[in-house]
Parts: sequence; C-alpha cells; structure tokens
Amino acid sequence: MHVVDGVLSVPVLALGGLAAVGGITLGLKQVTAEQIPRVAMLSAASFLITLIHIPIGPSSVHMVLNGIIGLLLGWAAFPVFLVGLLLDAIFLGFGGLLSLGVNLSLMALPAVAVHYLFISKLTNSQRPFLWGAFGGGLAIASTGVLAALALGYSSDAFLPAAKVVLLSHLPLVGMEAFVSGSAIALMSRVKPELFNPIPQPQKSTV
Amino acid sequence: MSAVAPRVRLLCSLIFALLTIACSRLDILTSLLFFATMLAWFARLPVIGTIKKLLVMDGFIMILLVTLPFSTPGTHWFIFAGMEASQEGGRHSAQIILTANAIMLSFLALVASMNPSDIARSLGELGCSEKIVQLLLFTIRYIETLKREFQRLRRAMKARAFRPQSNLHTWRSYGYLTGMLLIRSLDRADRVLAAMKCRGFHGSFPATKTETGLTIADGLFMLWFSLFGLTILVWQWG
Repeated sequence: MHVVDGVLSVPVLALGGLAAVGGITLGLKQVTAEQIPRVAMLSAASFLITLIHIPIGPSSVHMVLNGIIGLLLGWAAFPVFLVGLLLDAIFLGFGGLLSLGVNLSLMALPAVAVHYLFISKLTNSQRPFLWGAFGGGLAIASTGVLAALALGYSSDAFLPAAKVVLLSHLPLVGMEAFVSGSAIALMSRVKPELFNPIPQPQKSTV
Repeated sequence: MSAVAPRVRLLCSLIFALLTIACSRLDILTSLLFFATMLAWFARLPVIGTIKKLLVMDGFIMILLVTLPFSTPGTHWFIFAGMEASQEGGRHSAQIILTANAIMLSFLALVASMNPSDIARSLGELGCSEKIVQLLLFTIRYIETLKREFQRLRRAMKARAFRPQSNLHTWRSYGYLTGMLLIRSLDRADRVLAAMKCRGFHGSFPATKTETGLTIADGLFMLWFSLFGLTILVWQWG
C-alpha cells in the first residue's frame, strides 16, 4: 500500500508500527540463515510482479499478490514486504517513512491470515486453483478493508476517501483471485513440494 | 552531501520525518519543504525525475485532498456543485500535501540518493537485525538478474502475440507468468545457497559489519541539522 506521511493519526501509526515490528520479529525467527536466499529471491520477484500493470477498462492497476507470498511464506511475508516497501521508497519514491509500519501491516497481516487459513487445504489438494483463488481474493480484499479502516479511524473527514479506496479494491479482488489461482495451480503442478511453510533445503547434497 | 556517512543521513531523514509530522502550522511546514528542497539541491538530485516522483505520490492522495474540504465541517469557504467546502478542510488538505512532499523529498535527498547496498549496511550499523540487512543486500543484488528472467518470459509471451486486455485469458497468462517467475527465483536461490555453502557460508558476511568512525563532515552536518531542528521546535512551540 502507498499511504503517505501526514495522513494517518498518531494512534493508527503507532498500532501499525507495533504490528509491523511484531510481525517482522516473528517472521525473522522463522527464517534461518540458509533460507535467506530463498526469501530474498521471493522479495525481488514480488517487487518485479508489482510492476506489471493490468488493463481494467480504460485504466490499469498493478497487482499486489500478497496472497501468494502469504501462502508460500507465512509470517516471513512481513520481512518480504518490508524489503519491497523499502525498495519502493528508494527506487520509486512511493509511500511514506513513518507510515511504513501501517503500509506493511496492511499487506502482510492478510497474507499471514491467508496462510493459516488455506495452507492445510492446499497441501496435496486436487483443486489448487480454487484455494489459490480464495487466498488471493481474500488477501487483497482484507488489505482494502484494513486500508479503509486505517483512513476512517484517523479522521471522520477521511470517510469519503476511505469509501473510494474500498470501491477501487473491488475490481482488484476478482482479478487478483484469478491471477493467484492460476499462479498457484501452475506452481503446484510444476513444483508440488513448494507448499510447506518454507521448504527446508535438502541436506547432504551439498 | 556524499561526504556524510550513510547512517548519519538515514538518521537525519528519520528525525526530519518525525519533526515534520509533529508540526501543524502551514508556514512552518512550508519552510520544512523549503529545507527539503535545499537538501535535494545539495544532493544534486535530477530536477525533472524528482518532480515526477513527487507528482506520482501526490496522485495517490489526490482523492483524499479533493474530498477533504467537502467532508470537514467548519467555516464556509466556497460552494462547488451544491456542496459546501470548509476552510478547515482546505487547510487540512494543504497540511497533508506539504507534509507528504517534505518528508518524501528529504528522504529522496538524504537516503534514496545513496547506493542501495550502503543503505542496507547503514541499517545494520543503526541496530537493524543482521537478517534484514542480508535480505536487503540479496534482494538488491538479484533484482536485476530476476528482471532479466522476467523480461525473457514476457518476450516469450509477446512472441506468441500476447496482448494484455481485461479478460480471463490475460489474467490466467499473468498468473502463469507470476508462478513461473516465482519457481525460477526459488530454483536460483537454491543454486546461490549451494554456491555460498561451497565457500563456507556460516550465517554472516564480513562486509555487513564494517564500521568506521564519524568524520568532521559528519559532525558539521549533524550540528547544522540539529540547529535547524531546534529552530523548528522553538518556532512551533516556543
């Protein structure tokens, strides 16, 4: 998400910051030194994926796909999106500095939730498209709802803008669900061993 | 500006952001934006590119800025299409746009103008977890490599006459593109890990731990920066 500085109220910023710090700590605990390359590679890939713009009617939107990252990584989605948001700010000048925690939580909390809701369904599933689509759709929908809540709680005067944020996420939900479903279906066909929290690299081969 | 140590710049950027968000008076915010412009000037940021970046960011908050005068109750300002705009709402809009631009411009000048790997290392020097620093360094290193992979996949799609539209075929194709990119990136990660182990990787890199003392330039910069910060604090609350 790209909520900029100067918009959100201090309690919302603090809450987002706390959630972000907690999530990052939990996420880093799950990542061992050997898994750093995999997690970093997924950060780089998810940063690149957000550069794809998909036409919707006369305009276009970019994908977030926090559902896929969540399904793959669980709590480690926090550090992944942290790196992504830092790179957004450094390379593109998007987002904010003090609202970083809120922006991170908006993307990563739904991703973690989706992981715990759907990962058991997805392992050895005959219908990976379905669960991938559910996960992807739910993740981006929750991100939209949380973003609207963050705006609405900051000030009553933001309510019209919060509604616009919510409405603008609607077309995104269907699209992300379908894209996530296709991606997950392909991945579970090509690399079925992927859908453990973070696959352990094989020992003894190196 | 490049004489100042990366961690000092990072710290100053954070202090500037905190200072800006604490201020509410429009004249002070304007001078903060002016100060950020000065920093951008010192950092020799490209003028057009920087303005473009700021405009893109302003585009994100356009809806908020436009609706705010109408949704805030208060003193009458003007009437547009039967809706009454308030002066308080207009003021709030101005406050948001000044704050957002001042913070982002100072960040672009102080932090984003540095080499990305220096930023990652200075985060470590400021006490960030070693894992975060490694993640950032790896991501920065492999983003270009993966981008080439990504462009290869997209070229293959174009060669098969793929044109993005609003339909299921487009979404499915992008889904497969995403899935394939993720799979290839994980495969590459495994090869990288194997190569690292082969060279005795043990969980840390020597390069993330270099720490040098601060120079006179750093001291002068910090002094100048804190004098400015104090002035702003006194101005707002004095």
